[in-house]
This record gives sequence, structure tokens and C-alpha cells, in this order.
Amino acid sequence: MTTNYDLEGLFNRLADGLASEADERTLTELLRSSPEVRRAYREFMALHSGLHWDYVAAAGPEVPQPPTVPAPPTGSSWRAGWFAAFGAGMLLASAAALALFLLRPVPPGPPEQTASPPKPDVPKEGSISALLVDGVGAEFALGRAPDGVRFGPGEYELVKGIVHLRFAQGADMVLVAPARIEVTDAQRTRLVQGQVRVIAPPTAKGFTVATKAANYIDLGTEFGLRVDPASGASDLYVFDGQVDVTDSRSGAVRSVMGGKSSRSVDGRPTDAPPLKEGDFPTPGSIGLKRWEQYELEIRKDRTLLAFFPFRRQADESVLVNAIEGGGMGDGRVVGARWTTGRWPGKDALLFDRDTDFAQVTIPGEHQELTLAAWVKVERIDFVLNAILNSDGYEPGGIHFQLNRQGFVRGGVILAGNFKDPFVGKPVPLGSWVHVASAISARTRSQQIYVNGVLARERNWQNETLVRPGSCRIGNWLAIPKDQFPTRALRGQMDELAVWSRALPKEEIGRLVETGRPGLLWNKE
Amino acid sequence: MGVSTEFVTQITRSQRQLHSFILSMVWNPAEADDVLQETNLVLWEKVSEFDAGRPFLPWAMQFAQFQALAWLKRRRRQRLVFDDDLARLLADDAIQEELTFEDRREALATCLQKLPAEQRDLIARRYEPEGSVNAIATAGGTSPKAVSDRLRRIRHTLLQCIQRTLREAIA
Repeated sequence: MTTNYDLEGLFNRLADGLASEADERTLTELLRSSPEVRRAYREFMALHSGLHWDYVAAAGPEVPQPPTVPAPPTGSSWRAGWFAAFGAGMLLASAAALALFLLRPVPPGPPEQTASPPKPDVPKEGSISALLVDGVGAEFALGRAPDGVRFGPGEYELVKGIVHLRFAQGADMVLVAPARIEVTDAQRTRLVQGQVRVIAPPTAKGFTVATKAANYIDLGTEFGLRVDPASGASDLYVFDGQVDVTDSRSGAVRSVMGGKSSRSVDGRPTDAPPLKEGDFPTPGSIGLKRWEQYELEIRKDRTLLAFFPFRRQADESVLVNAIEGGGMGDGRVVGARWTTGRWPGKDALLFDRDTDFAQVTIPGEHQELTLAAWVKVERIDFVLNAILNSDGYEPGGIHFQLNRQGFVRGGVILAGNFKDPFVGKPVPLGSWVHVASAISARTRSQQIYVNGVLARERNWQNETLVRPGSCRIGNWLAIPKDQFPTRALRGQMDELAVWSRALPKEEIGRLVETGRPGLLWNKE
Repeated sequence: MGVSTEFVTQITRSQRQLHSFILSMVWNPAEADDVLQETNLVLWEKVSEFDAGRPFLPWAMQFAQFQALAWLKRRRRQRLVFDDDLARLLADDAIQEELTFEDRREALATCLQKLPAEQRDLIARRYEPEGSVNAIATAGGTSPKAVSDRLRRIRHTLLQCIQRTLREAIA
């Protein structure tokens, strides 16, 4: 009954977002009943998908021969296609988003070009060698920048900042500005100038960094390499494993083992200068730098009552509130011990005894309030396990805690009934997780988010203001004869923020993206 | 890391096919990117279950199917169209066509080259970052339907060209 032409009309409306409900009904009937329609539909969608991926690489007039492996799309958003390049980088989805967010190519393209379709650089061989997975303050030189987060074969110049690349076979490279590299493929890069740290897993054995003075072949290891453009000398520091250094002229090979260093100048090995603190940053240090920038930024928010960066002081019992004039003071650490948080160098508090807590006071009455914290729950020992609870059980107090199944629950303590119409996923154990509770007495509702995803929603009827007062982080000051008096958290916290407004979901999502622990972190 | 090179190769190779399949359920390419991203994350989590001796695509497709359905459910979209059965049917069909998928992709690259510049330009604007029929219509002072009609003709040309190219390749 349906001609091909009609089918194409239907498919086009679906593809272009113009389909009606009647179209949808027709589609489902046709797809279920006819293998031929399904084939036509699949072919159409393959075209739709292919155009999304390919149009630049395949249609660009600069490329006389279509590449055999066309590049993924230049992206309908930061998300588009970067992940599609290859495996190892895919774990790092949002990290790349963040990296792109942090990445500011300089200078921006002329505005008059925006009216016509963009013609991004087509990778020389249409393939992707590496992905940008993280970065801080990164700026690339114009014409020597990655295509979004994608590094194809070609030259790149990092003018400012630090970036972390992951090559297709799994090698990680942290590049510090000023630096110039020439990417040959997934296993081979030339370092023209600057310094890199390379971490190569077994899948990337043989990963090679070439320099003017020598070639460095990684045999499953971690090393730092610096090229001084003036002298042409390259300094190698092997942190772990073995690197084979090949003289680019004679072909002679020397092995440099973990803990050793070597300087090559025109093929002649000499001693490398001593390694300095801070040379060759690790991927983790990028996260910490990113977080430090985020802290400076977020502290400008005038609606913050408090921001606890969890920075260890000489007096370890002080939990510093970095916001002055927000109405909240410092907290007091009782029992909980200082450990390492999301990144090396980031402090955190460990709560692992029944008596461990940190005390803070949220004074006053509030129409709205948001609490957001980064926590790592190691274990759940009790029926209720406090993230942050007002002392006792007074109306207007807040309880923000986990139940034994790891579901976040709690809210403002009310006189009347309430409903939890939505309950989502529990908090994963053993990994850093962002938990946020946005309470509004205006809308008489509260939303709890786990890693930016709505995990619980609560509505109530009675009018109630939020009066948290004295609170314990990681514990609860029980009322006499309470059924569940011990609510001690078993885990760490390394950031807590309190706002005098109910943050919308989008803003909480941004907090999660900005503060994500690292590239191997999975929101789920 | 313990991840086999084989897995890396396979997941890389299957990206376009997974995207195409996911797109057939979510319709919007950028949204299909997101679902593919979620699928990739799941695949990486399941890497220890991956058996290099068995075909990769059917294994990966199960997760793509699940992720796409979950995505539609979360957004309360297309619920009337896709259920488990239909998703499986589309996935099974796609797996059957694994071998011709590459040929079609190569044919598309050739066919795009043959389009007049003006048509390539419209395709580019439709598929560029943030490109949409509505955006093109607004910019050109025309209606979304008019833009969609033009795109339909171009897509029709491309589909016919792909068929022709494949026939010629066989002949």
C-alpha cells in the first residue's frame, strides 16, 4: 500500500524532527509487518548516520580521494563522535566533555564565517590517533589544534596549559605547554619541543616518541621526556619499566631502566640534569589543577552559604569554610582523619569509626537550601548512614543520609506527611560520587541527585521552613531512645557546599562534570 | 590494563554500525551519539565477559539495544513505536547486514562527491554541529517543511546512487 516515495517521506520527517504521532503509529505498524520496510528503514538510517559522521571528510572539496576510513563527524556537540574513535578513550566520555569545555582554541574563528558551513581541518589520513581526555587551561595555536577532542596525524602546538591525550592503543601522554608534537599514528609521535609524561599499558607496548636526538621506544612503562628546542637535547627519565633509546643516525639501541635518566644530544648519551619537583605532571594532577580553578570560580557565587574545600590545616580539627560573609563559620573535625581525596594532593576526611564526625552549623531559616558533596562510601554498616544530619530531630532540621541499600534519602523534617514519588539509583560503593539535595519550602519539594541524575524526589503538604542549625557530617547526634541511634558513615568526603537556593538539575550536572575525579570515572 | 587489542579493534570497528542502529531508534544523530557513548561505557565495563572467539557485533548490539530502549524510556519518547521485540528485530536485521554495511558507507562517500555543491552545502548545514532543519529554515526565511523537502530529495538521490554503486560493484 505504501510506495517507496511515501516511506522516504515518513523517514525524512522522523530524521528531521517533524514526525507526527500518526507518523509514529504508521512506522511501528510497517516495521513490524514488513521485512522490506525494515530494510528500507535501516538503509535510510544508515545514510542519516553516515552523513552525520562523514559529511566533512567525504564531501570536503580539499580531499580529492575519499579517505578509506573517514573521520567521525566534527560533532553536533562536544559529545558527538569523539568517543567513537576508539576503545580506551571511551571510558572517559565526560572527561572529554570537560576537556573540550576547558579547551579554548586561540584565537576564535572570524565571526563572518559562521553563516556558512564550517570546514574543519580534515585529518590527513582521515584517521584518529588520539583523543583529548582531560586538560586544564589548555590553549592550542591556531591551525595546530585538535579537531574538537580528536587528534589525527598532524602537527599540534600547545601554547598554554596541560593536556592529557589517550592514543588509540591505550598509551597516555600528558603534555605540558609550551610544546609541539607531530602525531604520526596511534603508536608514534614526534616531540619537537616541550615535555611529556608517557604511560603505556601492555596494549601500547612499542609506543614510540621520536625526537631530533633519539627515538624512545616504550616497553610497557612510564617515563618523562623533555626536548630543549635550542640545544636539540632530549632528557629521558624512566619512572618505571624500560625504555629503549635508539640513536636516529647509527641505529644503536640502549636500554634505560626504571629510576634512571639519560640525556641525548646528537645521538651521544650523557647524564640528564636532576629531576625537579613538578616536572612531568601526572594525569591526576590535571584533575587537581582543574578543581583548584573550579574552587576559585565557585567561591564567587553569592548564594553560597559555605564552601568546605576540605583543605587540611596545621590545626587538623578545623574544617575551613572558604566563604566569608555567607553566614556560616568553619566546621570542627572530631575523630575523622585526614586522607587523600579525588586526586593526589587533594585532602579529604575519612569517617570510619562510630564516633567520627565533623560539626558545622547552618544558622537561620531558609526557604531554599542545597547541599552538595563529593563522597566515597566504602561500606554501609547501618540502617541509616548520615552524609549530613541536623542534630536530633527538630522540625525544619535536615537529614541527608543513605539507607542500607545505598539509596540516598532524607530531607527536611516535617510535621505532616510526605510522598517520595520517585526513587532512582543507589549510590555506588567504593568510588567517588557527587550527592546533592535541593530543598525548596516554596515548592514544598526536594530533589536528591546522585552524580547529577535525579535519585529521589519528595513532596509535602505542610508549610515548613528549613532550619538546619547544628549538623554533623558523617554522623548524627541521636535523640534519646531513637530506633537507629548509630548512623556513622564509612567513607570519605572531600568537598561540601551549601547554597541558600535550590539548584536546578542542570547546574548540579555541571558541578558533577567539573568535579569528576578523573578519566576512568564512571557516573553509573 | 588487561584490555585486549582485539577488543579495542572490535569496538572501534563497530562504532558506525552501532550508531546507525541506535539512530534507527532515537532518530536524532546527536542523541544517538549520547546513547552510543553510554553503550561504549557498558561495553568497557563488560570487557571481561567479551569472548574474542565469538562475533563482536551481536554481543555489542544487545547492549546498544538495551541502552537505546532505556534512553527512550527515560525521555518518554517513541514509547509507542519501539518495544523489546521490535528493537531485537531491528538489531538482528542489522547484524545480518554487517558485511554490506562497509560497502554502503564507501558508496556514500563516493556519492557525496557527485552531489552539486549547493546540495552538499545543504547537507553540511543540516549535519553540522547544532545544525537542524529549524535552524536552516529560520536562517533562510523559509519553513522547516520546505527545508525537509529539499533534504528529502537529496537523500533520495544519495540512496539511489548508493544502490547503483553497489550494483556496479557486483557487476
